[in-house]
Amino acid sequence: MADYFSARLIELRLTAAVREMGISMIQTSGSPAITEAKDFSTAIFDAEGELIAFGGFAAFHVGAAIEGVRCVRSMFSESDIEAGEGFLVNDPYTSGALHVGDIGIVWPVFWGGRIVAWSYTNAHQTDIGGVSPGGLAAGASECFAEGLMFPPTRIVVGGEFVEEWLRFISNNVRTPLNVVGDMRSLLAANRTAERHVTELVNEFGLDTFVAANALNKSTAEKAVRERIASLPDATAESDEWMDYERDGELSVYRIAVKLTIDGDSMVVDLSDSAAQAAAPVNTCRPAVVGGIYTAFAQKMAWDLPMNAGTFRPIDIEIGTPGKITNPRKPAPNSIGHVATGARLVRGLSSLFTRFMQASRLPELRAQVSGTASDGLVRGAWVGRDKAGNTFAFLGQDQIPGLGARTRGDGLDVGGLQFGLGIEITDIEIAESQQPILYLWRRLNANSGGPGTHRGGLGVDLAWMPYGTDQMAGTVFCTASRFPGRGELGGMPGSTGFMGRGAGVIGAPARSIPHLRRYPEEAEWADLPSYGAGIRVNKGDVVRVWSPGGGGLGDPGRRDPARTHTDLVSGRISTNHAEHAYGLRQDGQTTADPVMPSQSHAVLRCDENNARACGGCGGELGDWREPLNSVSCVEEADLAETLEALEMHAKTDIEGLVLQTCRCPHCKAALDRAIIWKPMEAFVEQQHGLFVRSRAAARSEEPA
Amino acid sequence: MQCTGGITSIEDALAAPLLLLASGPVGGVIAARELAQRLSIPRVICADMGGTSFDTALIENGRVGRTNRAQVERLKTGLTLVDVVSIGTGGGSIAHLDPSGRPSLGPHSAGAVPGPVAYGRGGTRPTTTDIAVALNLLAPEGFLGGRVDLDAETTGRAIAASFSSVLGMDLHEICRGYFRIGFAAMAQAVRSVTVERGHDPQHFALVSYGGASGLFIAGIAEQLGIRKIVIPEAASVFSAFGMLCGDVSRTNSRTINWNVLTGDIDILRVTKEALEAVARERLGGNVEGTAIAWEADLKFGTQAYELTLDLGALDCSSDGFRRSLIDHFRDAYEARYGRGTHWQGADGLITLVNLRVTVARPVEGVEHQKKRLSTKTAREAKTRRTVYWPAKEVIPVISVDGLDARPVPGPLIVEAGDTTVYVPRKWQAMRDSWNNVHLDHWAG
Repeated sequence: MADYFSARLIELRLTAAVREMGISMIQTSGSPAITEAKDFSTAIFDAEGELIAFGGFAAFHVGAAIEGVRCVRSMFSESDIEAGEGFLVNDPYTSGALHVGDIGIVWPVFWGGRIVAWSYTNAHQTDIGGVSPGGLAAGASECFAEGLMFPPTRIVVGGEFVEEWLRFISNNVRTPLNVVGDMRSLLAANRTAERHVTELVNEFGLDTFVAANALNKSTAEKAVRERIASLPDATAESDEWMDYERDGELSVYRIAVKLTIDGDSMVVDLSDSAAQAAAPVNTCRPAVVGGIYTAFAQKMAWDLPMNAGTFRPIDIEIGTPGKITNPRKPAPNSIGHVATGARLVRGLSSLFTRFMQASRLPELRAQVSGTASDGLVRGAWVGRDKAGNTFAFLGQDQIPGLGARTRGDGLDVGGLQFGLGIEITDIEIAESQQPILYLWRRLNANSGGPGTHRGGLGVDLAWMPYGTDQMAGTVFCTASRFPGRGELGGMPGSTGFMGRGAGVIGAPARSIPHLRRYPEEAEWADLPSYGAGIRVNKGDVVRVWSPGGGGLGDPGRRDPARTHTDLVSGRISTNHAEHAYGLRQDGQTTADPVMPSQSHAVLRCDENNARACGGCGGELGDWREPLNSVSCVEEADLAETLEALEMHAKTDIEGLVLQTCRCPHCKAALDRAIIWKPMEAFVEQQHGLFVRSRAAARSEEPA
Repeated sequence: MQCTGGITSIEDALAAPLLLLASGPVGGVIAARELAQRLSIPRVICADMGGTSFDTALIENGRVGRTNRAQVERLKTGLTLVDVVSIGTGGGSIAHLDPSGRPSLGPHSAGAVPGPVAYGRGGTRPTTTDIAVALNLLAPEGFLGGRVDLDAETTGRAIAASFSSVLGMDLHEICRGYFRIGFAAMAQAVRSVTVERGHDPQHFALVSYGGASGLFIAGIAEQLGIRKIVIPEAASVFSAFGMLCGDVSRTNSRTINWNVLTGDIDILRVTKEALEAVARERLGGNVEGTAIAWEADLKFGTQAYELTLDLGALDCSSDGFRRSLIDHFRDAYEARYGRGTHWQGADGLITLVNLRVTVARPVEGVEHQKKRLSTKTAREAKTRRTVYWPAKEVIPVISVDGLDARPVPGPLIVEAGDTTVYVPRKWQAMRDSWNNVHLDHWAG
């Protein structure tokens, strides 16, 4: 039998084990994606395949871990598996990966002749074959172009890798040494888990180990159910839009998230989302599960244990086969997890924010935050260095800002909400391993969404090829047109995209400061938000603006002293300070600051769901009714609004509206939604999929 | 005291103040090294538990474990420093239930004010010390050499009120549970400096210092399979003593990214000589009695982390140097990361990243006198007390003055003024002629 203390002791040891698995990965890997960016994860499951510990380096991977172990267990019966065997998994359709670029090894842990646990380690590889490096095939039309796809495959037998498989993989990837080296790291990590679990079962006995895991799961379940029960029973919906472009044709997909809270459980329903795409923005089940669980854990259970019990109260409806959230093979999906998956995290997080505002638990109300952009700006580059060696690398440092928090401004360059453990690469490390030279890496001014608390800023960086004459890249910017919204009257953050200054570096430079002067004054040509075969030559400069997080609360109520500090530190420009916050150049201000303690009580909800303005106390109807039916509604063109605020944003999409709901009594902004009304240029081709042809885009341009 | 463990001058410290980082905990490690040499113990794990934290480090054959590219809080540095792993479990750590109702110890600490409930200075939240008081392991009167009287009754009530109804357990069950959590957390910290670095803790002895560690140390040792513990005299100020023992040293290093198969041997030799010359000059020229150590950080091609090798026995001008270096690296790599993890067939990728030379000479004038034990009082000051760990039982309590070279079997409590030592069953306690208390596991 397990008491609370034995259960706790076993949990602490399992937590230490998943951490130590990560250390094994980092110390043995040869890939910056792992050693620097920490784009990997570690997990341990019980004999039934239920999660009992998660390393959480890249939180999103929890879906891949759960599905990976499930797929191996459903394909092989226990009698088919011997001790010392490990299974390679990387196929979103059959073996539970987010995308083919993440390779995982599922490892059964034997004790007394039977499987008592499973461990799982996965990591993003520098390459997995296919049409583009890094398993991120921005231009793919079918999954076959995206890379090698392994259904659960016995790659370790008798404790040793099957050499034929390693040779096969080496033969099919651009960076065989890194990939095979990382596979050895995955094994080292799983061996670490095996050692810990064996020690634990030896020390406590199998019965106590099993009982403790059951108790830990039910403890977690009880705690999350208590939190869910504190939310009002209701259904709310959020539409997010996912854009993709190829050859000048722009497609926009609806990602419809519907959240129903019913007592102490919830249903997340995605079934009204768009039909599947002929582009790699689809997300298979592992990424959908990972996204939903991550949003829930971040928003509602940040301080609670993460195991199978944590997720028991959540039912997921991913839609019928053929949806963008449940595609049919061979729909491509290699960037779907960071595109559609990230949008889904964003939409669901925004819904949680809405519900948490009305929670009966003060600790949940105090966690209300603006929505993170979760927009990734990334390039995967290949070429030959001057010695003739092939290189391939992935830009890992284009991290966006996070949403503003109830306790303060959003974290600058804080990360992706779905993968907070992911880190930014050291410039020195990047330059020592990649043929590039950084000209600068600094905060992206004005990128944080204005609010009583401001959204975190993204990054603004520029680099040039160094030690090579030419490279070719695949680029993608997943949030270049639809920014992350602000909450409770806060404004959206900026969007993220890449630019190229062609031939801007002229004469050989004496020093970096000298070099910097060229691109400071250069004309920047936007790179497409999705593109392959992008050439960067000697003398060119690549520039990246990563997006900022959404603001929280009416910016008109921001403390002018904090606005002033932002101005002085260069986080915002003079015009931005004036237009967003009312801080004029002569120092006068129209801001009407509130005390920080009041700022998150923008709306109040009592036990009968009666809603009131947090500022003036005026009644605002029933919480379950849309806010815009009981408040003063203003609409403004989003592109014009962002332009006036000097916020970088791609504004080539028509019909994007910022809808502001103000309290009819005190006029404070209570909510700011981003609404897209597809204009004539866009034709609905399939359910939830709108397309604008290149010709239509041209005809829209002013003469 | 520098973070590398050597002593520097005021001038050099002003020029590079970063090198003084963490010099307090490092002092304890250096003192432990001194002690280990004196007692001829080859492999030692340091365990320092004070009021707010538990610090642990490793010493092997007189060499202190070090870490490269040390991270200080959130800041990555290029520093190489003594590898001290610290966790937030100390005597003042607060026992509580986390938001999901799981029992947890620390990292919040009651500090000196208000301190543990038992001190009667206004503390209301039970701490590690309070748990020990409720288990009756600490003397109610005369704690901390007589400066504090402990209030066991109020302490017991505070613990029961916080946890009894939620956990459905009685006071002593609760205390035992928290005690085990404390052991587990501290044993985990020790695992970080041993197992995570490829060492088996069973081959080490524990040197335990800091005011609060005596109660826990045998329990930690049992979790790790360690069979020998040394608790130095004046355990609570041991780190300060270490500051007096360090060698005066200067370390100089350079990044050379030298390929082990194709690199020019002359570059290695010239770099080594240059590094040594600079280190000598900063130490104050050619002085008698200096020792030179040279080390290298090696890795495979694109790896981010290096493995540090002691090159002391290798002569870079010899013919077999490259082969020996590769073999040395392979053995050290697999010892650390396990069988099959070495990159087979990739010798040509092995890069010697940094070369490091340390020049050191001992501090003059530090002598350690052997004290004569006064055997007159031995085995006299003995009382008995009812304790509740690991179960309710009556065990002897002796003063450290009553201990000599003849082993006394546990269970037993040894009171040493500034620290209290719990000796469990299957362990025995004795005191050596430098007044260090030794605990040895004798069964099984």
